[in-house]
Amino acid sequence: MLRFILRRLVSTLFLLAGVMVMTFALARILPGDPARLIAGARAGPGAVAAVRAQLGLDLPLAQQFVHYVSGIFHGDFGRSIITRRPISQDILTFFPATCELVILASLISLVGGVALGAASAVNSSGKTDAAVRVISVFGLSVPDFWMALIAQLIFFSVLGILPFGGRLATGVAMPPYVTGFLSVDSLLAGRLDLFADALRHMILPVTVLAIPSMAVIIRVVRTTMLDVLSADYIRTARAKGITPFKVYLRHALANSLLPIVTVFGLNMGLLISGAVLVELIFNLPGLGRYTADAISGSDYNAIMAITLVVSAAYIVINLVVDLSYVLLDPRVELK
Amino acid sequence: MTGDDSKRSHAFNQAWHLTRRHFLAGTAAFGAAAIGRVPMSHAATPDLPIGNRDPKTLVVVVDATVENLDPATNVEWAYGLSPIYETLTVLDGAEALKVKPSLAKAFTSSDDKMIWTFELPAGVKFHDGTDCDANAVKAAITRTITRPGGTFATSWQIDDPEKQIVVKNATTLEFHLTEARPFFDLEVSSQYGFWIASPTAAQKNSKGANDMGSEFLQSHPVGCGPYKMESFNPGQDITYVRFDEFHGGWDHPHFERVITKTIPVSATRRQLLEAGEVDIALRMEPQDTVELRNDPRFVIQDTSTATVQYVVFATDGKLADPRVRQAICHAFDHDSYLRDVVLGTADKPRSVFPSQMQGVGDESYVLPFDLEKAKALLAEANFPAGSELTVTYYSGFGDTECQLLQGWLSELGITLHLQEKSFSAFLDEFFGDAPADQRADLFYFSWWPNVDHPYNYAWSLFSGAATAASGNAGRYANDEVTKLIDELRQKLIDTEQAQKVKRLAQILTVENPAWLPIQQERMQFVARRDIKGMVNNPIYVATLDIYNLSRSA
Repeated sequence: MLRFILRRLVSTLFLLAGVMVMTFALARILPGDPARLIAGARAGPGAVAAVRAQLGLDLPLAQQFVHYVSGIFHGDFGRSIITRRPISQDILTFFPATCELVILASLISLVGGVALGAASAVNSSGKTDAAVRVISVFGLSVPDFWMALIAQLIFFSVLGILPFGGRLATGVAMPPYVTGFLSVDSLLAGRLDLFADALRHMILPVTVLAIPSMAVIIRVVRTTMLDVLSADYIRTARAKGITPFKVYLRHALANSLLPIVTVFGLNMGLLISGAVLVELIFNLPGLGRYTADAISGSDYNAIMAITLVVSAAYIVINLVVDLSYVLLDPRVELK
Repeated sequence: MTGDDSKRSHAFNQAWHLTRRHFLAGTAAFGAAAIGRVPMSHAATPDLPIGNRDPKTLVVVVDATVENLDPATNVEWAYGLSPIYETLTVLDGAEALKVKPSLAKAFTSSDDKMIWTFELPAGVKFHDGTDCDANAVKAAITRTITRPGGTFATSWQIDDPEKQIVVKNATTLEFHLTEARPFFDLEVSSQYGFWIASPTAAQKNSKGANDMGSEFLQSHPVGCGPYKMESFNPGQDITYVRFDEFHGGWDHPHFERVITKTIPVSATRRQLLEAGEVDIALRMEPQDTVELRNDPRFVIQDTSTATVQYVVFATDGKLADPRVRQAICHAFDHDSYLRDVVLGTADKPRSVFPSQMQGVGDESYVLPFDLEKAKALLAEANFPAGSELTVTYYSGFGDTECQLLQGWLSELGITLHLQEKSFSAFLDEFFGDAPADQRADLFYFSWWPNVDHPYNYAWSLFSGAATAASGNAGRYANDEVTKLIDELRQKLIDTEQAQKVKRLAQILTVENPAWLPIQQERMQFVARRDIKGMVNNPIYVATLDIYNLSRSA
């Protein structure tokens, strides 16, 4: 397994190098002068030239690339044109909100998807199955931005029971920064009121983000379990008098886990990309909104850094998924 | 469909069959519930409760985050700076030409207007506790002028701050100018580059000669204004609390805390206002403004600004002949655009100058919508039928206006290609030096003056001596225009100078058009009815005088 991991890590390095070259090249090919953007529309030519020199944009392209790569190895992604802060600092500021959102959404989609998919398969053709199929079709076919807007309309404007967005109520001070996860930091600060407020603010965005992903898992679990439930060993287990609950849980569900894990890994990409719109609509200061701002503001340094970070995260998640196959199924061998 | 699927489908239909009666009943119930909760019955309840919010805290929702709070480099809206910093003088209320003391308690000028003296009150402190005396003010201005790559290095028009800014004593500061500047007080009241930041904070946290404390001040602003920053959550909100030692005092009603929240979507800003969660919303979409205008729970501070949105003509290409530009000007129907598209939330421009600009007068120079006249002008100019033109605009700004122009130009036999670019790519082309055949023929942009003076507004845009990089993106060159603009430099606008301004408006809008002005923006601040003291100055773009706001009991 160690060899497998090493091989994957080496290929990962090549992949990230490719991403680096590609994003750097794209940023330089695309039209637009970051120096003018920083200096502003009212700046004279002298000020724009000075900013260009400060950013090193007047250097030959090869030299700019060397600076860029060496900066990355020192954890320096350059400076954002929009926020003017070091991008590494911006990532530390904005990434936790996205992480918190994606982690909670992935847990809900996994737990909900497996539970509903299993219930649907077990009650195939029954009312539960029909209801779950409606949920999964709804989740797959309705765009998350629409769901987000409707959720805001119903739960904030009409019913007034949930906040429209943001991470905490207006005027409430953030807990001291430890992890950047509000739910964790508020607990570390011993502030249960903040913890409850943070969770309340997470309900709508997490649910909206989780639904499409959960719909995919429901479909996979249902199909896989239906196949497994018709297998000989399930009939044998039933014949041996094992309780239906044990049959479903230990025999059927346990043997359906591999495709679920695969889909779960793939879904992380869906969740990260879905976070862009969800953060925008729910006004969450996460990496998704930061990315949207970077794209609309042609903040190339930020776009390059985010692409690299998200690619790395995606690669790591898929590596973990591959490794988990071994744990879940002893027959799987990693070569 | 397999047999199993068919059975499942049947089972589904049985389980989820919804009669039309049930559907209608459910929809009606939901609708009734929604109407009951949505605040549509506002006529009966003009006072919107603020719930458990602190009445001494003001919550303002804005469309864009101010990420940079260093006044030496901030090129964004100044609403983030105005609570923290002060300028030496400030424009009085909504007056564009009347100055009142701010950080300086008094100011005088020599007869030749080459020496300006500002008197500071004694004992003024920055938020970091250091003295805001004449030496500190000089150091702050010097930093703005000398910081490499500083956008506002030329704002003060002072080449040698060490010599030209003279500290007479701890509270007296003199500016020795190299030419007579009769409205220097108006200039130092401007919002671009004139705020005073603590030089001690800048120096203590400087990362070198290129930085001069800018990185620190961007997120840790230190001024001497009425509020100091309490917290800054990038992309989310900024909280300010009152600065107890503010030299202006806290005797009359003020807010103790101010929170500016960034909510990019206009509809969401409106929802928050209607739910009573916020007090003021800036920059709403026309539809939201129009609807809130009829809501008695809110007041709308609706004032004209000095910002003109325009289509600039590239005069060095296909549009070199003024008659072709005149024809295009005749092909834009301002009246229907302002009525049907922007729903009356903007003003009809009168010329390339903002209507309130000194000297420009009340006449309208904008060429009337007349497609027949436009066709005749094109024929006279031998402009080939079936010509193709390109207009460039940036994402989210000018797309509707360019589409309208496209429609009207098609009636003249001109095909207008729309080219939407990112803001960065747009600026690159707009201010760039590419030859005419590699640029668009028209651009959509907007501009406003730093000071209500025609020279300040016109030189960089229309003078033959100004390059595209300076702002003359149309590469406009007209000897009479250049001469008239030069003659206005540092001149008070009396009757004689006003004639020159009118002549400029006539040439630039009618005879040899540089631009097609599309609209003059209005600024609409929507506030709860209990918020008092809202004033908008046309020169200060989207900037609230937060210190003078209060909540009525």
